[in-house]
Amino acid sequence: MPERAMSIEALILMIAVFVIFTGGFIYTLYLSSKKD
Amino acid sequence: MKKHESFSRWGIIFAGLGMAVGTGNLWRFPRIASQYGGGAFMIAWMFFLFVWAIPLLTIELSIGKKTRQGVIGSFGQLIGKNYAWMGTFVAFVTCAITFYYTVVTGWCIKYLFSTVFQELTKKDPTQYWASFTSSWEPVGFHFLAVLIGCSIIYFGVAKGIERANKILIPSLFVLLLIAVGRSLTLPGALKGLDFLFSPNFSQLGNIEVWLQALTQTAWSTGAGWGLMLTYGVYSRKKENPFLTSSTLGFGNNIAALLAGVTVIPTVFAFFAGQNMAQEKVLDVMRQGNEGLTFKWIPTLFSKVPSGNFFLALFFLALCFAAFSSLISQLELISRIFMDTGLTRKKAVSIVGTACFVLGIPSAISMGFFNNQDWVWGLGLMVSGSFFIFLVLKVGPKKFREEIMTSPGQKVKMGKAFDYLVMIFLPIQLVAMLVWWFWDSYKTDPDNWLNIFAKGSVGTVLFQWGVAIAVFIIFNKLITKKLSFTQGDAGESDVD
Repeated sequence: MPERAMSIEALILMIAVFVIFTGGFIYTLYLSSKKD
Repeated sequence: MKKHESFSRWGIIFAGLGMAVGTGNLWRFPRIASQYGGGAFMIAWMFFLFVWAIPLLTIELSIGKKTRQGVIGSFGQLIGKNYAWMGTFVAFVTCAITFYYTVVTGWCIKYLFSTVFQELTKKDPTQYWASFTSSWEPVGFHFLAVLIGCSIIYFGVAKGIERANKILIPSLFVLLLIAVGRSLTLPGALKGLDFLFSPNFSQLGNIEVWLQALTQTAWSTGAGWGLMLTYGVYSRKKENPFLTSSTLGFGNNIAALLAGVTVIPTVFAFFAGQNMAQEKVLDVMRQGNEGLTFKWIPTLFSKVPSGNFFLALFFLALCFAAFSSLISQLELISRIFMDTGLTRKKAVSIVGTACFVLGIPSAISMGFFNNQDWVWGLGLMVSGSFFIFLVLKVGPKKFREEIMTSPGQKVKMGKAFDYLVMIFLPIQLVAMLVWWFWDSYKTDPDNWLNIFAKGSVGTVLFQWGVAIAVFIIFNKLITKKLSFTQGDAGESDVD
């Protein structure tokens, strides 16, 4: 089996970091626009 | 203020993102994240977004919204004229950074031109950088950067700052996404992602990882600079400072991540298949901001198919990031002049002339540039502490309830804010200072307090001390022209 280019732990952390920042960005934008 | 200028709802988001997303995201984050633990750094960096950047940005935005005055006027209005010198120091630190940031912006313009018109990838980048920085060319490009930046703010908040950022920020994100796409499709690039995100949890016990994450957060988000306070002056009455600051914090970190995901995998792809590839990558990252951006990035792209095209996109993104931040810095200084009654036209003319003249030493001497970068970059710690002092002087509860929160605002910071300001933020500041003193002493025990030694604690404390002494002595004179009248954001009984 070929060696994995990326470990599972690194993949999980990468997805988690992107999801938290992107999710936070979209959610706070949504809340700001809801106020009006 | 004769006529109140203001941002639209989306305008302040774009302008705030422009303020936060700067060259620090593109050249500093990938370098620091890879040097200090990769995945462990990410965890620490994420932590400080919530306990440093978002609270401080919220504090700044709330102050500007409440006082409707620039940094000096805000300190005077909220905690009394006798403390206005603190605002003067905050403004001065940002001014001093602006004087050399215009030089950096000039370098970015030069490299964009060189890539487009002279095929930079075919030249020797080290030699090219050395011949450029030893010539008079940086002065010309520094002038161009000041001219463009001042021209944007000359048109005012809505027609200048807001309009420019509405173009710069979306374009920057599109350019970054294109760069990510190119980088991740290079052979060997995924090893770079693995390196950047591998969570080596033992590194979380290393205090340096935490302090570097905090420094990166402070430097990159613009928290504690007074910039968000200045943009807060033009915010709508119903602006929610907490929500807006959170959006900016998240957006800023997304831009940094995209830059990291572009640069690190590209460096790994360059060294793919070589022995000690990881060590070589770290060597590249240790070259410093200028070394990485102006010497290594052109080298890396020279080996990539259509490299010159992608290098041009990279420098275009860097120019956009630099300008979006530069205009917020120029506006901070201009706002102070406008608070004394000057028109925008006159204020911008004075600021432009001063920035050009006072930036010349950094444009012609890398030694002077590095000294200023060291002294005033660290000065942001003091600026941040002055904002915390302001909140403590007003009273965290009172600040939270009367300045940070508008009537009817549903999403707001709770009591945790009080503990954050009273305990956690001061601890972070003291930890950073103590670590910095200790690290400097360990590195150079004989010269760490020498005021003439390059990069010493002594030179930093000396220049901070002189600035603070001058601002305290001339506090009355400086504040004489400022009215410290209540802004139009609502009533305040804070004294």
